[in-house]
Formats: sequence, structure tokens, C-alpha cells
Amino acid sequence: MEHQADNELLQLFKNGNSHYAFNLIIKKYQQRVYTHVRRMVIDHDDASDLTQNTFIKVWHNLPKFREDSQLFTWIYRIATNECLSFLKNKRKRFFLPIGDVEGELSDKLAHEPSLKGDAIEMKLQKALLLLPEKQRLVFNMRYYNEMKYEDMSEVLGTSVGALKASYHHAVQKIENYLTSD
Amino acid sequence: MNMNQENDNELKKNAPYLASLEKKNSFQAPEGFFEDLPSKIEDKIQEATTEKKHTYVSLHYVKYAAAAVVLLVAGYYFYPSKTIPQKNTFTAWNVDSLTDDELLDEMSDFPIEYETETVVSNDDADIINYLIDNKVDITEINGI
Repeated sequence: MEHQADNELLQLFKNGNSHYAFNLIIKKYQQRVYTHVRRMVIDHDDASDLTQNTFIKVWHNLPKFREDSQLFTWIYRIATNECLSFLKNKRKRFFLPIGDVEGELSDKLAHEPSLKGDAIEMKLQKALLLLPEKQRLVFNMRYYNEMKYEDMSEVLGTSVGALKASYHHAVQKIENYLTSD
Repeated sequence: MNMNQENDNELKKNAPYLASLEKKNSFQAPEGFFEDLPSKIEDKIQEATTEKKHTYVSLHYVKYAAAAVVLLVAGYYFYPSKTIPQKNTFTAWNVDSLTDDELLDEMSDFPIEYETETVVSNDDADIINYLIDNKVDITEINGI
């Protein structure tokens, strides 16, 4: 499906067709946002809620969007914040140390139908859960989403140099985990 | 060199095993999920807007309800003091029903204000002078 350019969608939004434009924005970005969120929270229902919350925030804040960043990095930033807040609240609510939240996510992985019978993929996903949250975000954005460091920098508010270092560390850790017995 | 090639080369150099793996999207959404998602989001936005209006309306009424409660509480404290007959109220019906002793008893509790200017001294001479000044016939008083 062909999607309209971001600047056209924003123009449409400003010209009074806000609901129609917003609908097109959802359709354009929903899969990318969902996948980005799902990789962080693993569970489909949680990912669905967070994706919806992300777009609700997009709707409420779009009139204030100043276009000094790209629409898609702005949406990614909202989605990323949603994920981080969700995981933080999860820890607070259950007084869980980091390991326990990752343990819970690991259990969810074990019940993921698409991973059953794929030992290598399961091992890769488990390796990812061992990374600190922000390093996992960096890895996902670079490895899976193939984002430029400059765009990642806009989303995460971190310098390009720091992101390169973080990705390098993440890759090393995963490689070590995958190649160990 | 495009971004993907750059990323691949970077990966091959740092993590050859990881670079050899096929990239998969292991987390597929259920069938039809993305067809329904836009309307779900729109519905939630509508719901939130309606809820906001309802909350505003309820708060509007809460304002009046709170005022009514304040008036009721105030009424409870102040109304009885104006309507319940006090022990010291001097009305015809209770005067009639009282004995002399009871009446004196009641009157001793009841504050009577005197006009200090009209109060006369207990001194007899002062009384007589007062009566003369006011042209009161003393014989008339004596005859009482």
C-alpha cells in the first residue's frame, strides 16, 4: 500500500481534515510502531495497548508538532517513552528487580508460538533480554529497523557516538551469548 | 555505500555469527489486527472526549450539591436556636401557668435592662426630691 509523504499528511491535518489525516498516519506507522513496541514488551496485549496509547498521544500532540524533527522519529520517540514507562511501572508495581522483569519477559518468550521449534531465534531473543533496556532499544532500532544513527539520536536523545558505542557493546554481548554453549 | 550495506559490514566485522543469521520478525500480530487498530484508536479518543464532557457535567452539578450540603449543615446548627422556645422566653401562656415562686425564679434568670438615668436612690430625701421635681403628688402615693 502506498502511503502519502509525511509533509502531505501534516498539511492535510492542518487544513481541517484532521481525522482523515490522522487515520492515514495510523495506517502508515501502525505496523512499525507495534513491532518496535512488541520487541520491547514481548506480550501482544501489552504491545497493542502501548501502540494505541502512542497514537492517542500523537493525536493530542500533533497540533503542537513543530516539525523540527521528522514525523516518524517523533512518533518513535513517543512509542519508546511508552515502552520505557511501561517497564518502569511494571518494576515499581511488583517491587521487582530488573532480573525479575526480564525473567517474566523470558517466560512470555517461551510461550510465543512463532518461536516454537526455532531454537536459534529463541536463543537470540533470550540474549536480547539480557541487555540493559536502552541497549536493547538501540540494538532493535539498528539491527531490525535499520535506522540511521542520526534518526536514532533524535528518538533517544543520545549522541551518535554514544549510540555507536552502545550498539557495538550490544552486538558483542549477543555474539558471545550465541556462540557460547 | 548505503546504510544497509554499512550496517551489514559493521555486523560482519564485529559479530560474524549474528551476521550469518537470517533476520526474522518473530513477533507477528494476530490476523486482522492492523485492519481494526485505526478504528479502535479513534473509538478510544472519542470515549475519552465523551468521558471528559461527562466529568465536566458531573463536576458542574457537584458544585451545586456541595453548596446545598453547606447550607443544610449551616441550617442544622442555626435554625433550632431561632425556633425552639428558650427557657427564658417570657410569653403569656407560660406566665399564666407558672406559680409566683416559679415566676420569680424565671425572672431572676431573665436579664432586665434598666435605664440607669431613671434609677432613684434608696435615700428617702432623694426620693422625695425626685417626686417633687417630677410634680408627683406625695399624698396620692401615701394613699395607695
